[in-house]
Amino acid sequence: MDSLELSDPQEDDPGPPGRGPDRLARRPEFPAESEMLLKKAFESDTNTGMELLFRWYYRPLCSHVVRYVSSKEIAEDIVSEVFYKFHRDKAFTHVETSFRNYLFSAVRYSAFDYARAEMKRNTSLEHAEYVTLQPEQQPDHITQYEDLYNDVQNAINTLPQKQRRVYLMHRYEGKKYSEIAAELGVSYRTVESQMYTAMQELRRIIKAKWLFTLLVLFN
Amino acid sequence: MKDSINKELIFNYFSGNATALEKDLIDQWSTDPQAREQLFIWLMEWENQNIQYNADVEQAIARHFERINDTPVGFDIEAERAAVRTLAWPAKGKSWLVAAAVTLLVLSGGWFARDHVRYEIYSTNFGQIQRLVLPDGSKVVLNANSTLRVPRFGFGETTREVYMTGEADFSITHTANHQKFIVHTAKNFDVEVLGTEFNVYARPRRSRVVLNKGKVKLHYLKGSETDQIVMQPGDLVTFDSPGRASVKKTLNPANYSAWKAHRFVFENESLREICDLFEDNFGLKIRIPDSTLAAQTISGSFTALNAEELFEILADDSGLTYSRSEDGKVITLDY
Repeated sequence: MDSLELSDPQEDDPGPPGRGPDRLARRPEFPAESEMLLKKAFESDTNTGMELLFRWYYRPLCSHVVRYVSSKEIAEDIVSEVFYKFHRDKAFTHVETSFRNYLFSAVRYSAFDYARAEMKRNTSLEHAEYVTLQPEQQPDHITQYEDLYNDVQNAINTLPQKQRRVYLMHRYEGKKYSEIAAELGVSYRTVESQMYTAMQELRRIIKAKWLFTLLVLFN
Repeated sequence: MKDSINKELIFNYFSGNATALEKDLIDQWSTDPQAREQLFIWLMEWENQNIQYNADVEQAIARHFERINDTPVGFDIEAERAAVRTLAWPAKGKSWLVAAAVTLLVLSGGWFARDHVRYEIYSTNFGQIQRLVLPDGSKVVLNANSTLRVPRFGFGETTREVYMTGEADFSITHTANHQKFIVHTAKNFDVEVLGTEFNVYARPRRSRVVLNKGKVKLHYLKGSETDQIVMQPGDLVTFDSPGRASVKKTLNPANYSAWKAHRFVFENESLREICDLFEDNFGLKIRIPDSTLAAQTISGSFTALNAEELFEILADDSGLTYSRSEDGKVITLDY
């Protein structure tokens, strides 16, 4: 993949120069100019462009989304879905902003909507997928995005230690209840009830603030 | 003010350490497209410095291409929609019979179907929103329970004229020869456009035009005479039922197009008016027996994908109760 070599960004980062073919994966930092290279890659070949897009943006995007949904699987599903639609609908031919802007905006919207749906009731990812992403979709204020994930993180931090541990093992690390029970040396029922209490508590905390801010926001 | 926004402040904000005042500053700053680009450059940098976990990129790429290769070639939402409108053509056999039937159909039905021949007709059901790109590149988003007729022949060559009922949001491209774009409504007014973004609402109970960008000219019937209004961005023109026009300024013209994103924005809207919206957009009848309650107003921005969701949010939020008729089509709202 010559285009990978070509696009190695140098500025903004005085770190050591490239050291091998996989350095992009390890040190993915890109100045604004790299967008030009991306667009060029898409002009020559869609698949090359997509692969480059994945290597540059997939990891930071997953990292961003996981702050809202606190589950690796869901985060990856949301990000993959955005990439899929980007490719399928050939969004790269008509995006007017940078790809970075487009992708971050799209995943933030999906993550936000997923979190919103989840706190409203027990909703699966199907709901988030149902929402069609459109560039004109904007929240009322950009800071609502950061507010939401900070609140989610803070709410998790306020959980009692045992509950938090179980919650993170299950949601974040994607472990099954039986695996957690074995690892912590407690019964399956204990894991189940701690998980349930944790979910209820999180929903309660987030709901207290966000039901109003999200649904009745104006003025 | 813009000088006070820097990387340090934004990084603090991403980490959840920005004050309310700083957030306000960021909100204002980020409305500028260039600022927004900058924001995402910094967000990318911040995420890379604070990576939460190492997502498996290789696996993601493999899954992506597997999925894309499973997607039929040339998949296109617009084409798919168009296909639904196209008659399926029988492949072979008895073709003379088909031909005869078609001829007969064309001859007898021709008069009735002449609209379908002359116009491409787009229509939406209750609760459905459709996005269209016209042959001249202009974009139209058609709200629920609305129709748009676009001439099949000569559109963009001699004139650009369309006919609509219901509500639609237009983003009109400017042509090299400054060709006019005209939206005809079934009401007493037409909109003449010179390259711009605006929202037209022409339903039985009310009509209005909101201009987002650019310039439009309204031609309307005042009694038996025609009159004109030239609109500036932010202007909101409403027509009352006798057809009189009134011009107001709105600070947030974009609110009138919020429905494109399944968002409903109300500014001191009475419950009665909101009920009209349910009926027009979702075909759902809501009765409010108590007239004081019907006159109560609601302000807010609500995101809802369907009538149920919007209704639940509104009722829950205002602490009201509701009951459904047996066929589910009429809802009664009460304290």
